[in-house]
Amino acid sequence: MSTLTTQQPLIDRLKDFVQHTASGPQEHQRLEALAQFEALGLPHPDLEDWKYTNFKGLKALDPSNPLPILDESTIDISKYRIAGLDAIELVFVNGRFAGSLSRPFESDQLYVSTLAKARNLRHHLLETHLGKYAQQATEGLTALNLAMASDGFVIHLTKNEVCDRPVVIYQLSTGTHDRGWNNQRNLIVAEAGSRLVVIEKYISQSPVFDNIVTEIVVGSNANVEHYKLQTRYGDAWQVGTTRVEQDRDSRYYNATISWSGQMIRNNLQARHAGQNCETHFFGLYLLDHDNLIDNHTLMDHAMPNCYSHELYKGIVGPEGKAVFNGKVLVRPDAQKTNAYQSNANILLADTGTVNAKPELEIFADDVKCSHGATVGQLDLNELFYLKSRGIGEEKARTILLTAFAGEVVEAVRIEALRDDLMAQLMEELQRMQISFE
Amino acid sequence: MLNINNLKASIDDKQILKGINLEVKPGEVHAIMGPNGSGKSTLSSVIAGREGYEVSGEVLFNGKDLLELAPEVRAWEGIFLAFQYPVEIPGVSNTNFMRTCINEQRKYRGLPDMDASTFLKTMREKAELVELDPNLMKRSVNQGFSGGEKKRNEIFQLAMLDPKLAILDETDSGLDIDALRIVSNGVNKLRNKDNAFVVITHYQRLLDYIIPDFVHVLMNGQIVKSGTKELAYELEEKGYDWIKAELKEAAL
Repeated sequence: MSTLTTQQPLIDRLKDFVQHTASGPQEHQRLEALAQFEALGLPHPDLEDWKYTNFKGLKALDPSNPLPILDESTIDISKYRIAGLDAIELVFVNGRFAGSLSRPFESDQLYVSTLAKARNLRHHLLETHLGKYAQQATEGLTALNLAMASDGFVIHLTKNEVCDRPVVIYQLSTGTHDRGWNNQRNLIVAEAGSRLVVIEKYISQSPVFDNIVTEIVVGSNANVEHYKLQTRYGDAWQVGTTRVEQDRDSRYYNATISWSGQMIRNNLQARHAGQNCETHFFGLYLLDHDNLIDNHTLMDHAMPNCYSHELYKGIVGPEGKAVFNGKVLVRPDAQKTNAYQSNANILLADTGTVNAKPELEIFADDVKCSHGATVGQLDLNELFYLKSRGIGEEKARTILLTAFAGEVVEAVRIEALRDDLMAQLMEELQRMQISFE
Repeated sequence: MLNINNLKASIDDKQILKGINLEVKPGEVHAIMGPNGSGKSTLSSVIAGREGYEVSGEVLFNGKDLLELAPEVRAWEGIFLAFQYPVEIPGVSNTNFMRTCINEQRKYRGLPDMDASTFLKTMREKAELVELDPNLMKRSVNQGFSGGEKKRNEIFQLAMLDPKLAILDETDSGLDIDALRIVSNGVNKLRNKDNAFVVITHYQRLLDYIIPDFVHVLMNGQIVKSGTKELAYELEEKGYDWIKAELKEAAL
């Protein structure tokens, strides 16, 4: 890396970087991805998918520029741990695996480790799955991620195995005031009949740009529960793309909860590759003060007899900007699809913005699909009802907002995590209320 | 207890109350009757402090100027409004809601939070008073409640908060006879020499169960006639037209 010079054009430097860090079939895949990135470029607002979300500063960043390497012993992860949760844990600091802070797990049935390690030891798994689902042919940052990512997490659960403990991934960025670019590539493979819970927790003390791509394979009749938390994310930026491939009779359950970070784009895409799949997406976003949170979902109903359910809720304070774009695609073969989508927003101030865009594309004729999007203020009738019973304005507002947002937190099925989030939610709403006055 | 003097209220430049005068003393029950659109619900909203009205005149409650106080302070001072259309609050359980209401009131009165066992015991007692299924307490406020359950929940809240002055805004509308009996029984058990009720209704039937000391007729934003409970029977029998005729005659 030290041989790179800033005089070279970016793409040549990235090519050098890949050639320096990869070899064999991986090098081929990564160079190919780099070529795809070269053709696609960075996202810009002229693209329909990026109309409302402009990562203006990206161009100035070097995608190969590594974040500082820190002494693991100086890092305290304990205050970010979820109380009362016995978990398998992987900790990444500035994109690098922090072994001494982690509690990994490796057995014949369950592999919880890193991409760097898996590249040496799990060739077959990576060759079968890595880069096979995420859309590097159409998404520039996804292509760039495949080319550049040197690490990430890999979870592999074999057939009919039940993983009792949740796997928690802590992504911490710290130690610099410069905006550094972190590419991270993750893979989750839950084979037929297995059961897995994964929690991704993003923590930032530095203004990182995280370009994260996670591919998730849910085997037939397998069950994956997945939580993505951006609750202590400081001034970070993220484009996080999660691509889920579901085999027949499988269930995938996701909750994405975001109330910090300066600019976040979450892409969550599920495709049903077999019949009788069930997919749940829950999302909650709270933001103000020039922050932007954009949730782009794609529910790709490619096969018949599948069920999907989406509930996204947001509270937007002064100068906050929220985007929800929910696409439900029902392909011609996907008869008897049952798809439901709902997006509800509360605007606390007239300087907040919400762009809500449900997109239903239905090519099958025997389906049940519904969607609803609302943007409104706190219900004045509800507020008066509370006040008339002796609850003051500020408390009444906090109660109603907590109840509104709480519906999503309640969807979290891990009790310790749910309690932790509920407590934080109330603090966060109080903070928003106070800053609002 | 309550003194209303020349109370006027308008909304969006439309005058609804045109000079109301009313005095309510402790221990009394006043019924206010009147045709649709006469201003009955506006009167209750203005007393409880709903925003959006242009208000003038005077509403004194135990000597304090109510119109100066925020709705929650009015509640702490002892005003309670049973809503005509109780509001559903998804995500807030009845139990937590009541606990918050009671403790906010106690804070205002300089008392510590009610301890958990007293609170639960009180909840049970008061729910029994209006024959409310205890399982409803765990559910979100009014969400998925039947019409009758919502109205009974209003009287349950009334019982919990033990106000000095309770205003029942068409609590009987839409209730079948059994629910009406339950609600009325609840109210009658809560009556005492220190509190007062203002019962707003469309139908004389309620007044068979909650027997008023006074009946007032509200028409076109004014109290045009006051009397005893016999007046309610007369209204039930003859409607409101005879009062209009009487008023016209008086005006001539």
